Formats: sequence, structure tokens, C-alpha cells
Amino acid sequence: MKTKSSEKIAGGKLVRVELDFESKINSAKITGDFFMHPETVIEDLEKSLKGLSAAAEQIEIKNKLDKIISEKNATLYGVTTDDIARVAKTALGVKQ
Amino acid sequence: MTSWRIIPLHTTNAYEAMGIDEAVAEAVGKGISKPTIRFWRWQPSTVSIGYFQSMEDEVDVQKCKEQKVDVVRRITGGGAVYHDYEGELTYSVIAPEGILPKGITESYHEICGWIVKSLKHIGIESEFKPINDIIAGGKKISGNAQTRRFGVVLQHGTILYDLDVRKMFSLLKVGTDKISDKMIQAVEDRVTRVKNFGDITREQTYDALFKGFTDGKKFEVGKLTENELSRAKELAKTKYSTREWNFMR
Repeated sequence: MKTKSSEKIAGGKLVRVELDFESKINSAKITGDFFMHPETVIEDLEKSLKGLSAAAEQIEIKNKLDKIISEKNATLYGVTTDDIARVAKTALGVKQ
Repeated sequence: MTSWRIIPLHTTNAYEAMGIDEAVAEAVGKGISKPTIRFWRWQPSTVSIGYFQSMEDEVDVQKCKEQKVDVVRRITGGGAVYHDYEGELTYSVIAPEGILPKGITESYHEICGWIVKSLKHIGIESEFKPINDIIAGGKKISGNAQTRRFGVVLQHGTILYDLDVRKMFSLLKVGTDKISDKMIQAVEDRVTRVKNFGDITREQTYDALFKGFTDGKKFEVGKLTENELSRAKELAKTKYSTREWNFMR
């Protein structure tokens, strides 16, 4: 199923996570008015969530994101991986 | 002392404007061009969205088309902005990372400090408000966005000179078809513009920006090189004006 969750996080930036999942996440899209460079790493972040269990905890989601940020030497600004993971976790819990 | 190239106020369409910023960043990154500050205006008026935003979610593209307002995705993050040709002045700062403070907040603070200084020249007291805003009288007067690539800091931002909130709302998706007075008031409570601070012309505002950005710097007034211009046009054509780029998220 496809779900969407968004949150205005501390500092005023918006994070929106759209997920397509059954027992596992098939695809993820992360959008919002935050900053990150290199910007193209967003696609790696999205891909890193693919295959995660729909029952994954927030910390597991965060760990996946942190791994990419570290590997790609990317910098998030105005948002943290914790924020994105929290919104993703909420999206996993959205009933259709 | 770093020597800067200042490109005085000019007007471009959105696609070339984005192309110029990237082309100059490439040239500065290769050490071909000097650190550059340019001042510009958007014509036609344009809605720009941040790199990570969804065009469909943020912008009423059909309304923009009807109003002859262009839409473009920026190279930088941040939010959706309506850039009115009459309503704002825009700047870009493109410089090697080494000549600006290393931290992101610190480098925003440095460049936004030039705007604060500029606004002081026209009698407006303002301050940098992290993450990326400048506020005057408690309200936002300038929005800024930064990225780093090729060892270069690229920061562009706008100084609001005037603002038609109703028009802005009509172009952005705001979750409702009916734009209420309450919604307009909510923006008026949050956002201000140079014109609210007195009888200040756009020319005076630009002169103040020029002073504020160049104060204490070694600089020469210059223009884009032929290579930067042709690369900018190429990027406008192959990237920034394409559906593939603008609707990629």
C-alpha cells in the first residue's frame, strides 16, 4: 500500500515521506524544504529504505540513513536522520 | 586579500539564472573565475522550488502557466518561493569554501551578515535567523539557500522589496482553493518587505545591497565570461528548462 506522512520539524522545515510497502518497503520518496549536500544523495537515502520490514523500528530506519550519509560524506542541514526516520515510521503506521 | 568579481544587477529568466549559478560555480571551482557576487532579477516572474521538493505537491503549475509565471527547480534545498519581477532583488555568492567560514551555519551567518549590513544602509535593522532567514521587526525579509559542490559554496537568496500575498497563494498549493483573508493575514504576520519600512525605492535598495556586499572587500565590477555564458545557456537548455529536471520529484 501507499502511504504518506509529513511533519513540520523543529526549526520549521517540512519533511514528507511517501512509502509503498506490503510486508517490506518497495519504494520510498523523501521530500521537503530542508537542505543536504550533495543533493543527489537523496536518491541513495530513498533506495536504502527499500527492502526494510514494514515493522521496522525508527532506529533501524535511522541506522540505514546514517550509513548512507556517512558513506557518501553528505551533510544534512535543517533536518536530521532522526527526523526523517520518525516521519517514515509514522508513514509505516498510516492506515488506509 | 581575496579579490571578488561583482556582477551588477541584471535580469534573466529562471532557467538561465540557475544555469549561470551552476556555470559560475564550475568556473570558480576550477579556479578559472574569481569568487563572484552577482545581483539579479527574475523575468518572467517565477516560482522556484527547493531541490528536494515535489513540483506537483508545491506548485499550481496550471495557474503559473495562465499567469505566465515560469517554474523551476533550484540546485539548492529550501522551500518554494514566488519571485516577483517587481517584488524582489536576488543575489548569488559563489566562492571557494576556503574563503568562507567552514561551518554551514557560520557561512550563512557571514553572507547573511552582508545583507544585514545592506539593510542598515536603508535604515532597516535586521538579523540572521538560522536556519536560513533574515528577519526585520520579527518578520522574514530575506530567504537564503546554500549548497556546496566542486569545493565551492553557492548561496543565493532574495530580499523582499514588495509582496503580493494573494498572487503568491494563487500560484502555490496551499491546501485550499479559497484564499481567505485569514491566510493572507497569517503571511503578513510572518513576512515583511522593504517597502513596509518607508519610502525606499528599489534603486536605493540595490545601492544598499551593493554597498553591504562589497564593504571591506577588494573587488572589481565585471561580467560573465563567454565560457560561463555559453555553459549557462547549455545548462538552461539541457537541464533547468526540462520537465525531467523540474518534475523529477
